[in-house]
Amino acid sequence: MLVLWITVVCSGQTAVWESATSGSSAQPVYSQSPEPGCDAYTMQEIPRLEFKRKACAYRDQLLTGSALFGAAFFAGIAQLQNDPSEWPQGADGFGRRFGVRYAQGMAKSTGSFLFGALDHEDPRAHPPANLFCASHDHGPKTGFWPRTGSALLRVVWVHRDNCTDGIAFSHIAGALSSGFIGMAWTPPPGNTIGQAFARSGTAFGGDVAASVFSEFQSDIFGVVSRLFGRGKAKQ
Amino acid sequence: MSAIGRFAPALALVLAGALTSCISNRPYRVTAPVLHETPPLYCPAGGAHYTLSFIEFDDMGELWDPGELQSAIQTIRDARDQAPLVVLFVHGWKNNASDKSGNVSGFRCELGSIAARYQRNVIGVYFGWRGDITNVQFFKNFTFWNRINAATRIPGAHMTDAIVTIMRETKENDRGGEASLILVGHSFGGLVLERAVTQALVERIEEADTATSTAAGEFRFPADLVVFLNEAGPALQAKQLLDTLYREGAEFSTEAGQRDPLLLSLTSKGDTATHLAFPGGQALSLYKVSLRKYLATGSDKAAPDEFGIADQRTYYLHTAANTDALQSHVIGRQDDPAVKAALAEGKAIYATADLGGGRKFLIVPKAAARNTTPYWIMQMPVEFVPDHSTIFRPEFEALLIAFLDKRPDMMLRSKAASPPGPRLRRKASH
Repeated sequence: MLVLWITVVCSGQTAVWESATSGSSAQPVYSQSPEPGCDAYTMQEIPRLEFKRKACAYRDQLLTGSALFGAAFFAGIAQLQNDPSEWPQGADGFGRRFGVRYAQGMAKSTGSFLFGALDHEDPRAHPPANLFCASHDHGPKTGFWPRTGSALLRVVWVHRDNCTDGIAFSHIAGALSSGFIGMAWTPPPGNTIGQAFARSGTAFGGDVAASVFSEFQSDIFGVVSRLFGRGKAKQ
Repeated sequence: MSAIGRFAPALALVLAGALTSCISNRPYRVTAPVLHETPPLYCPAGGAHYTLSFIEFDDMGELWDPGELQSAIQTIRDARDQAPLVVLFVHGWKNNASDKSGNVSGFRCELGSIAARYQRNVIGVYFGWRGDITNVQFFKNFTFWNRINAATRIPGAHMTDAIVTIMRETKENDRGGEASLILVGHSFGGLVLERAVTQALVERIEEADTATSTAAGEFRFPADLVVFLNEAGPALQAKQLLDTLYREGAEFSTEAGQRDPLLLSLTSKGDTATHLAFPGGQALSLYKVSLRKYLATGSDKAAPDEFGIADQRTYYLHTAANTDALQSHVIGRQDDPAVKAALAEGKAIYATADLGGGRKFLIVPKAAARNTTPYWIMQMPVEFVPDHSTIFRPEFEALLIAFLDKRPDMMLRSKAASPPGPRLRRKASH
């Protein structure tokens, strides 16, 4: 309801603007098109993402459907398991469980963004070919196993801005950030370094699952959509 | 403190953030609607210079500034002697006419690529509307119902007039007969374009017997190709136009009898937005509409329509290209089962799209297709367009070229004398 209300309010926003007469040029002078920002096309096609655009990608990860619904889903499971038992049931307990999971997700994105930026890693799954790079092998693969292998490799091996490939420190940093930020609020009996590493492992596993799901997302959705029928003619 | 009280500050923060992220109802190009540019440096295919003209419509479908249309017309008029290639693009959901829109960036690269490839005076006409109302990615998805309503509302007299005026200025006032016009609408922009063009097309069909036509019952439609790309609109819209074309027995063909598409609906097989999300969104709005079963002619007994569909619900829930019964053609490799079935039925290959590296795709009329009108509807493999939004790419350009190369009056490569172009005509049998 909240988001629907916001869309309704947004749809009513009107602004004034400066009007000016327009005209055509008899002898056109061609100028360079303006420097693009963080639009979807540019983010996908530009060979090298500068810090500003990496920050845009990070910003867009902070409030997403998967972040919210993922946090709600796992908070629901924790609520059913009464984990941690020190927290109450009901809305209060669910709110806490949801909040910490969402905060852990944000910590993961933040850690991943900061380390990735410092390490000059490209956060995109399939960075486009860069004419200045001697070799480039990050295009989409075909076939089940090559695609699975590519999805798994992306979590540990990443393309860098200087055309080299290397260990994906951003994923490791993100997972550790997520695991250790939990020490700020986890009740004492479970608030140990070991538990923090366990949470980091879970976060890293989430990265692996997300990478594989993202690789096969269109195929999965394609199968699901066929289940709902596609307007076939009656014979 | 209650749970609500505990979360009230966070809720207030989210609300404040969401509301300040609204994109206001405003035009972006009234001060400089025509730009003469070279494409962005990062464009995958490089490119040559082009002219980009913006025409913006408000949330009610009115022109923000008629001066934008006049500027576009003047630009086309100025290029009349240079055989311009005019590409009119209507953007989709989550986009607008600002430089922050991915469709604006992509269109720039596409125009540059076309200009470089064909060495033509390329004029892009970008139809802007309010496809985006919030900057927050998460909230954007919830604007589906709000924006599909806008996309349904805005193609009115202003937009149809703008399209018809551009068509006439490009094709009918083209003294050398060498100008080309392609219209493309993407996603909700496909719905917008379809609704606007339908009005113009039906009017032309009805006028076909009048003095304005080149011969009794036939005329040249003043556009070379109209493409609805990953269109996100209910098939009900297409179905009405198909019915009209079907009843009128319209066909779009050359003097030699080669049949061509007048309208082309192409949807990627990887487009989960229209395959899955669109029916989901439409299903949630079923309560707002009254849909019926189709009846046999002159009877109150239920009977499928000419495409074999029993009720409007099917057309309401699915887009045209995702409705199997409306598909007229298939695109696939030689060993694709649908292509093999069509060839086995004796269908002739219309065209071949070659992506290089042995990736050749055949365009063939679908086996047992009921849609035999000049409104061609089909799905395309992910090699051309991988998903809903990644549309500005050389592979898709190659597919469009495969269609356009079949059209004798397109002359993308040659400025030699033009043979008679395709004409829309009525079949005597209807």
